Amino acid sequence: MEFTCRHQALMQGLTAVERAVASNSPRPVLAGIYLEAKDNQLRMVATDLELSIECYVPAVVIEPGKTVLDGKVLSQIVRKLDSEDVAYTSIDAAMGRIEGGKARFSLHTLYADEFPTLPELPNEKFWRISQNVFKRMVKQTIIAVSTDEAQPSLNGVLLEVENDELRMVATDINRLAFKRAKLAEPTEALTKHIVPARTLQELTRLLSGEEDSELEFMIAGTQVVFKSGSVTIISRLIEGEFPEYRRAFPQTQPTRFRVNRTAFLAAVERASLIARRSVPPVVKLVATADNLSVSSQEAQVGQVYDEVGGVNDGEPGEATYQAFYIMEALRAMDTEEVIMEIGEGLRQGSMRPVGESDYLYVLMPVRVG
Amino acid sequence: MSKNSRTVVHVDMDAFFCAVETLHHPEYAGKCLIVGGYKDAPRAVVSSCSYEARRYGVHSAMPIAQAARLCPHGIFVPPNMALYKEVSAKLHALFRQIAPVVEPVSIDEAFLDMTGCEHFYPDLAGMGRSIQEQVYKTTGCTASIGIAPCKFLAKLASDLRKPQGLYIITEDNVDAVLLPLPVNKLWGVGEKTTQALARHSIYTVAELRTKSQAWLQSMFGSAGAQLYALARGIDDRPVEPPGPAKSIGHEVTFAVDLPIRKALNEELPAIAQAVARRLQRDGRYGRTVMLKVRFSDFTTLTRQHTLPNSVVSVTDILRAATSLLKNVKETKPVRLLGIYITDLSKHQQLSLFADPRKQKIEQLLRRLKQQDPNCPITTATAFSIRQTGKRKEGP
Repeated sequence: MEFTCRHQALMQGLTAVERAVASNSPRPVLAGIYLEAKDNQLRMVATDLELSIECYVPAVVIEPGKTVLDGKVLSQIVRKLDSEDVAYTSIDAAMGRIEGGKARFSLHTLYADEFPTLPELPNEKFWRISQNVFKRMVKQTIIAVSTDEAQPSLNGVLLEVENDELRMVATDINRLAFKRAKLAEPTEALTKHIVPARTLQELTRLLSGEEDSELEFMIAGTQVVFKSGSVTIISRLIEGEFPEYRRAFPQTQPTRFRVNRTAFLAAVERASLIARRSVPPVVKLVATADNLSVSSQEAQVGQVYDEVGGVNDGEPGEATYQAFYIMEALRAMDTEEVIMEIGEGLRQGSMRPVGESDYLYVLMPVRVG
Repeated sequence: MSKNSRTVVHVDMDAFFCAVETLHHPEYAGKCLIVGGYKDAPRAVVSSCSYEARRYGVHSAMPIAQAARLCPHGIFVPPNMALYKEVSAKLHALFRQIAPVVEPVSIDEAFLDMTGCEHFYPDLAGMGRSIQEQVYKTTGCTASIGIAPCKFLAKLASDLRKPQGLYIITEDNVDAVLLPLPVNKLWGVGEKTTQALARHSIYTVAELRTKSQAWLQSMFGSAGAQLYALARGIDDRPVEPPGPAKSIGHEVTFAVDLPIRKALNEELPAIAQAVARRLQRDGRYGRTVMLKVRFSDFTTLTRQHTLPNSVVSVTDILRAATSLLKNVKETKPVRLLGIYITDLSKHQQLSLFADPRKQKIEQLLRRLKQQDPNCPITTATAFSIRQTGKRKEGP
């Protein structure tokens, strides 16, 4: 195998795939990045068997072929090269040479035949959605994903596709984030699948965020496939039942307080300076007609009382919530104003951005002892 | 010793359980009294023994059967914890009257920080005698007292002249006391450290003192710095009043070692039940369930799992503890089983998907238990667990 490609392009490809390189696998070949040169393209693949990332980079292919190089070593070397082009030549079955400028590396290769092949994708239509929209959906829902390994079905985000809508839902059973958006074109049947949070994190890292770029995705058996430009991500889906999330939606909320998002966030951040020593750190919200107070007290530390102005569209109300539940939701929203809805008694509270009806964040209060 | 010298008093009651027993049974006075489980119980150990019994080689934590061989004419009585707790409460109340800061160590032992109170007494010896007198007047039992500028030395001192001892360690006599001591008398020095030091021919504090801090740190990490300080009688730990409990739990040593499966099925539910009752009584919630297993060879392992939400009911606790125990791969027979709940909080995070009826019932039970800890109302699950436990205790 022999090829040359642009340093920058190679670097971009490596950055995309290296996150799927297995770090502690009993199969040594999974610590490598698979390289295949043909048709003036370099195909790169890394997989830890849960998550696979594939990327194509333009290359001048002198002699087609394939090999596997240690992922970490390869990325570090290419990162340090400062030539415009990088060349690769197979020396023999077990060695390869990387050249950039005057630097010349000889590297041991891994057995390309042992590298797992990616599953064949069914010849079905991809769903399409704006990358920016998708990125924002992930950002606003992934905060509620549970990290409790005993509940694997909550370690991911539910992706529900129905008609022309994509819905994302995540919950750790104490709070829930729901977001919906339009697909580029309508689809038929309802499908719902749980995508691991890590897959979505890696995916959004790779999305360009350019105004008109699109993301394509489809379900292929027990896998989900995302395509963005020359990058394809294939990930296992989480098996198991996702809770009936609509059960968690509040019916009518007696207290609906409209408040400036950044002012509210700052007040909760300040209050959590006192709360953070308690288990769990909680803040108390009290809504009157035109004031939302944020307070907290901790025996060993002290207490805090803060107010943010706003408009209460309902009745006065109060509740105590975990501080970071509120902070994470406020940071995930980007409108100027938000509505903080307090449930009756110990019922769930909810938060939504003003002027956007496609996002809902539900949170349960804390019963104060 | 530090410049800002402190006055720390360690009060340690003399053969406390025996002393309390003798108060109620004057006929025991001057006899070989041994408080512990019943003589025939296979696992019973000595909880406390009178100084007369100690002359025969009996000491606490010794199996009762062995004590009976050493001291066949001894009087053996089972412990009456309720009674000891009653006297202990009086004792600790007295400590809080005497000292501005009190750190209870156990039922019959406490540190008193008397810094700044020295002028109330003619001298430190006078302070010590005064405390001893007040303890005797309040409880009818005698105490040994150590006074020193830090906790470690105070505790050491109270042990030097037992019973009814009073020993004061100051800058003038600290070396005389400390240097000849074996290293395992230092706070935090257990079997492993003792062995490691012995490999370098360090057996006494005097020998330890010859070693540099750098050398000790290279050998024992951060514990090395502590060794260096303790060997010089330096211990900066403050006398601290007790904070809120860090964990709530319950453990049981079985009369005979049990196969793990049997322990799981027959013993775990009752332990979970006891823990749930304590949580309810204290009005606390906790998210981390810790399981403690001690095997027949005394090896002990702990496993823990943190749940997304606080455990409330006996079912929650039992479910978590059961899955922890099922993951224990050891096959040795089990001697002791315990469940502890940590990450305690007075607050309870509510769940979006919880069964509202179940929550209401649990809340109601909790309120009833707090009003009256002996309230017999319970859930059917808990009731059936208790029944199983009862049947087992029978003949």
